[in-house]
Amino acid sequence: MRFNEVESDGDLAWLFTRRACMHCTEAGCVKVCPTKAVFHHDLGFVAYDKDKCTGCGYCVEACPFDVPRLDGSRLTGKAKMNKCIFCIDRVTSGLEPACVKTCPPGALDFGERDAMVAKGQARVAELGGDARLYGEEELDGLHVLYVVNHSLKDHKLPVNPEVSPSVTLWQDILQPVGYGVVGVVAGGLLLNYMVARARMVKAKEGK
Amino acid sequence: MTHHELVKYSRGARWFHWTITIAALVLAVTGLFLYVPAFSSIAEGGITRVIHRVAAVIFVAAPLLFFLAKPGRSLHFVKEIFTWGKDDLAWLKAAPDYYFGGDEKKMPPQGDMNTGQKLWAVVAFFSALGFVFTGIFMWFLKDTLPAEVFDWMVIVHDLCFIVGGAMLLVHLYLGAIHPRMTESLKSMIKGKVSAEYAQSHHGKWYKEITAGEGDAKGTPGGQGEKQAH
Ligand code: HEM
Ligand code: HEM
Ligand code: SF4
Ligand code: SF4
Repeated sequence: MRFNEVESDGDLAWLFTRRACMHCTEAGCVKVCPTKAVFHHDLGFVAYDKDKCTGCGYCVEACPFDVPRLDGSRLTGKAKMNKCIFCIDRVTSGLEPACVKTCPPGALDFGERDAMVAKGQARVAELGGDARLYGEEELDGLHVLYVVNHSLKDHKLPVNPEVSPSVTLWQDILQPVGYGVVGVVAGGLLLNYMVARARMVKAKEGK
Repeated sequence: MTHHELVKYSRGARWFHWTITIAALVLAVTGLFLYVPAFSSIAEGGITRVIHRVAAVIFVAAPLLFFLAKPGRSLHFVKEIFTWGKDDLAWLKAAPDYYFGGDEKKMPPQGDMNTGQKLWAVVAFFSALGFVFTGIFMWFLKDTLPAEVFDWMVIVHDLCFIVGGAMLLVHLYLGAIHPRMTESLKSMIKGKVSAEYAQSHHGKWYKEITAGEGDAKGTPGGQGEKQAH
């Protein structure tokens, strides 16, 4: 939960922004997680299996929304990550997430994404002005949508959230390059062994 | 028999080499569990990451201790591996045929470390620096570093892994498997090589250490130090 006080048109306004996992379609955390402890659930959200977490913390660095938190020892490196798990047990048994259920003023709603997008757009139209629906397009579509009526900066939401280029370089280029290099070298050595042995045996026989 | 054996690596050098080797292999394997997603389930629970840190401490401490114990020899070694000249070019030209089993006599005579060995030592030197530098950031400064910088640390750590790891494969192969390197492994385990092996593989070195002496009792040329005998 984040609470920001901003001034608009001479008035003070309080903006409450829920800051838990946005369940991105193009999710940095999923991309870097070595054990796939965070993964895309069939229902669309980004699920998290804590047992599989090694505590490497790569997801912490890769998330555009600064969501995952790492609890553990810095010295040994033993740790576990924490983030919103979309109440996976409730959701998969047909219930709404706990946050939706308990939010006193009913500010949160839960449902099929298309229906939620439609609802959000309707609300935006109603509010008019600067209001917009955040999360419809961002990162190929978030599974948490906001109707925001101030600037994104005031809501402390990134204007253009993106999986950083360094993550792409690391995961999509360096990883395969590593396999390629090791494969070529291992193959070369095997070839060298066979050729060198054969030629040395021949040279010996020749004598 | 002693008459025909030359000391190539001193006891200290051999202990140092195998300590670093074990640390590096443990680091490589525990690192692999994070690098290769298919193996990463082994890292669940984080124990391999603890082992990576223990091995990293050994990997850093061993060279420091060796340096404190033998500063002169260490510096000489570093100087030697960074000294490159015309002879190295000749070696590089002749090497492919030689290593693919060609005529041994076409290979120019070598010092105690040939160009390839120096090359490996240089790569190992720089990748070790890279590993240690980036590793310290990844270990202790995870929450202080901006995300982008942290990613770059992992990227450089991985680059060292790819380059250093590939060259380690070559080193392991040449040291222990290549059909021509008959006494290489022995020299790193027992410390000595036969006079014949020294002549054919390290001709220049053989000449140096036997010059002016009636016998061929060795000096530990591996690290270039003259030993009283
Ligand atoms: C021969 C030496 C080494 C090798 C082969 C090696 C290899 C690796 C590899 C492959 C990774 C996984 C990176 C990834 O997920 O893509 C890694 C991670 C890591 N390494 Fe190393 N490394 C070495 C030395 C060191 C040293 C000297 C340190 C510390 C001073 C260190 C600290 C770390 C840390 C902190 C990580 C991050 C993962 C974690 O928190 O466990 N490494 N290493
Ligand atoms: C994987 C297992 C390894 C094996 C089987 C191995 C074997 C050997 C052998 C047999 C030699 C003596 C070469 C000769 O004089 O004929 C040697 C030398 C050497 N080793 Fe290793 N080694 C291994 C790992 C390492 C590692 C991990 C490092 C450094 C991080 C390393 C660094 C060196 C250096 C600097 C030399 C001296 C120069 C040279 O021969 O290139 N070795 N090794
Ligand atoms: S908000 Fe962060 S933790 Fe949540 S899915 Fe997106 S990248 Fe992952
Ligand atoms: S900290 Fe856990 S969840 Fe995050 S990337 Fe590492 S293993 Fe995956």
